[in-house]
Amino acid sequence: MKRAQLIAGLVLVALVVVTAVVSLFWTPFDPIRVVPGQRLLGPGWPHLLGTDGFGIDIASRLMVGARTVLAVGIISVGLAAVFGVPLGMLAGQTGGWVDEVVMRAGDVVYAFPALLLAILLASVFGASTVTAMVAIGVASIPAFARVARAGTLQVMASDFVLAARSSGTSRWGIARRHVLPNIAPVVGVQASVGFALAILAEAALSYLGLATPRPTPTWGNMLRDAQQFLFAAPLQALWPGLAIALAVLGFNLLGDGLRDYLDPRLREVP
Amino acid sequence: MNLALRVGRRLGVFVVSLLGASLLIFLVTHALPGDVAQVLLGTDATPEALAQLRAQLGLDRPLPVQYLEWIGGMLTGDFGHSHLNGQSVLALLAPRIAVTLWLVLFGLVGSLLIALPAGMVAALKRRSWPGFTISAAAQVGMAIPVFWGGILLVLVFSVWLRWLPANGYVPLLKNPGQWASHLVLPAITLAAVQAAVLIRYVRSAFLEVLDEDYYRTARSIGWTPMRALLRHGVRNAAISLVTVLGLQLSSVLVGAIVVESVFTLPGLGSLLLMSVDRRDLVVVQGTVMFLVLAVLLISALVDFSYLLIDPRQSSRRAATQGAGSR
Repeated sequence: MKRAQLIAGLVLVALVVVTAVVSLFWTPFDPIRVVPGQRLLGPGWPHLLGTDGFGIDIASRLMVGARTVLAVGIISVGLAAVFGVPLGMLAGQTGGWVDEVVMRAGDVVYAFPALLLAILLASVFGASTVTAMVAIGVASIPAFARVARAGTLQVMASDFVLAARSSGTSRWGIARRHVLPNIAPVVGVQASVGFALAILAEAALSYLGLATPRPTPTWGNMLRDAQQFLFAAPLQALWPGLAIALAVLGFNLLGDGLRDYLDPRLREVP
Repeated sequence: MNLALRVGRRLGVFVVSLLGASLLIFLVTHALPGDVAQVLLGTDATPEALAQLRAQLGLDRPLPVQYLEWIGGMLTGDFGHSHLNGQSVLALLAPRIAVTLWLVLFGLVGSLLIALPAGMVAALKRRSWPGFTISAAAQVGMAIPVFWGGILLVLVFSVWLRWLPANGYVPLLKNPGQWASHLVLPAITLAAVQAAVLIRYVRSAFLEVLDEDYYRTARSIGWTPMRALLRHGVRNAAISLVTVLGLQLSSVLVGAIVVESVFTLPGLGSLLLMSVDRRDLVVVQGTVMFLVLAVLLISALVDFSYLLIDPRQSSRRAATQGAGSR
């Protein structure tokens, strides 16, 4: 059961990655160029999923959309991990007022969902893929810091850290040799779950016009376009949403599967 | 620590968070290399015109002065005035607050109505098909973006069945029936998506109860699982659920902003998006601050109620339990 989850997650994630890579070299049709004579075609041949309000092949746009999803996910999760994990480790290892300050600052950022940050950034710089990445990344820092801190506290209480400390290993040495390798798995799980959240956030932002603007296709802005033709071409509103849901499901299942795989205590007795 | 001290401490955290949040908003909108005057006048503006506008908007003064003035204004109820039409931010917010408030309220209540029973069943029947089905449905629900959920509901109930309006809003006092019919789909959208996330928490909160001695005792004296769970479980699970609800609040608010956009409801979310479009920085800044204030205030209130409700938080008990507890 749990194994099936992990495999299903891997398959879905691989599907997104393969689609994105293939789209770099080949798409069935041009994903950008407007074809006035072919607006709002239904699914069929050669346009498998039909065409949108600009006469552009929907399947091709979906493929290119996978690229944005991965790019935003990787950058924002990377950003969150690079800042969040060291901060969490620092808080967990030092304790005292440093811990208090880091976690309180985390709470403040936590009160700012990615959407509000993206709104602030977009009102100053204009909406773009980069503002979305930064907004999602910064908003995800507290989650990584929390996970890293909890893991660090656990490691610091262990006998091998006590032994290392009594033999004179420096704080930095303990962080590098003992803490980091031991919290890597939980950080990995957080990365997978964070990726799923980043996909949802990116989709919402580009749906609202706060991220990647037209004509670059993203799953979110495709849905924004499709909504105008809900009565004329309802099927159009199905595909991009389905793509988002499958990608998010994939990363969530992968995260859950990894968690259970890494932590035998969580394995349910069949 | 006695109760007054705890409340005081939490109050301090609230004030500091509020200051931190305002600083963050101010830094993003002022200190980062973006020029409001340039944005407003366009790229072909003359340097003189830019300088004049900056002076007019007070952008030529030192940043700390601008920040203090902004905060001072908010303390006296002045959230600033729109660059574009001079309207005060609060006057812009006021007529829209009700829309967002209804949506958040119905979203929260609706998600509880779905998640509590579903999560309880998922915990009780965790090794048979009802449990699996609910867990799987929650997993799928979590993957559905809130705006797509809304669009799907519109497809079914407005496009195909033609039962409910696809967008728009009518105030409650103007026509209660119309008001309700315009809020049904947005509220269901928000509630369903929130419920999917909530079900997991409810399930694990009740799973914990199933392991407790008092539950086993209740079962051994012949109570049915449902009765034991309802009598003992709900109260014990409630404590952890209150916390989760507090944390969920900001995601409900975000969901409401997105849902407003799907159904073109004239709430705070649509004001924000409109202001971003027009680059009306003062309105964006004031509205975001207002929303963050609401989130921080409510999470502080949740914590206060938590301090008062949960007997384990009171100092005497904590001292007597001491090292024996987990």
